[in-house]
Amino acid sequence: MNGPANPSVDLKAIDELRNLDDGQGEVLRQLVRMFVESAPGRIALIERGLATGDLKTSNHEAHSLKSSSANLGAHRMASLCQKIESAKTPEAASQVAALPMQLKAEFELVRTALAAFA
Amino acid sequence: MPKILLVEDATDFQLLVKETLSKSANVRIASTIAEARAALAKEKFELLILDLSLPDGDGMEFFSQMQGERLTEDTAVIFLTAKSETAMQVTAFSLGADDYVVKPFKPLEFRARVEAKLKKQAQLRQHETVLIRGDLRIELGKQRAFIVAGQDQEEKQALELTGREFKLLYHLAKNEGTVFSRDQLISAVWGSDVHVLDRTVDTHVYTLRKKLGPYSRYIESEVGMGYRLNSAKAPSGKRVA
Repeated sequence: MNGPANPSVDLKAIDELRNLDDGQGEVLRQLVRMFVESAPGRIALIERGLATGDLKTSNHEAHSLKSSSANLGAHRMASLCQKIESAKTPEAASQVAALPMQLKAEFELVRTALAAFA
Repeated sequence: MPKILLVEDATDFQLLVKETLSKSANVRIASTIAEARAALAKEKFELLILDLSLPDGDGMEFFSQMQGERLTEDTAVIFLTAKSETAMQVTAFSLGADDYVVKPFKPLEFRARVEAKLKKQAQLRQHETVLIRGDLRIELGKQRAFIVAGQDQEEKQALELTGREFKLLYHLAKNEGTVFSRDQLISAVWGSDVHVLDRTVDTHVYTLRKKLGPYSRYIESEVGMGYRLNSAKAPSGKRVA
């Protein structure tokens, strides 16, 4: 197992992805790049969706980001996305309105942890 | 190599699945239900890997529609989704899904699951290597077709077919009763990457019918639609060419 210890990213998941192309790590690098490039836009859409009541968008983006982050072992980030995805009514949405801020903060930790693999 | 259609809009999972299965199969990608529908109408896949949340609809509804339209009759279906609810899994299996994999998945385990499905598909296909349709016997392994007669089919008369004619006959016989458009037949017999005129299909059907002689009636034309095989048709009084 390589890379810095960071509780935001489960290195077991990283190792599995690294072994996909016989340890070359190119697939892992591409996945990390895609994630790091797309996540800020998705978080912005989640935030806007919750703020404007467009829950279809916030649910959809949270669902996508949940999969992508869990895939890279970013389980805390995936868990935050799961909570947002579950908010399907305006009442539930108001209860998770603060989560995009936490999501942004968690993403920064994840990004730092993944930098070693990009 | 077997062919897999992955219906998935997330580019990271497209990459991940493609790389995971690159040694086991040719993976084609459809990002939407519309793209998947077009691909399935054009060619056969051994396996369909289907996400549930797609930009133009719900993967489960699409699967249900495909079952009704017999689009995935010989195709195994695996759902690959982040939705882990038991109710979703039960619905998928009750609709006829072969497997349900929750994201994130372990690549090596996923590859093993897919390879197991592909192996099962190949075994099922092996049982279909000899087709009996009315008085026709079609042997896929030897690429030969015969007119057979007698109760134990002891009298066999070989049909001298070209490779394309054999493929055409086999495709129609394997899917007896289904009307295929000329485009579908081109895709099944010539492949999807070649340019073949509709007329070519008609020409091959003509020569195939001629070689079938009294059994030419087995190949029926549906005006404006295409061709199908119907072995319930009685042969005419003519001799085989």
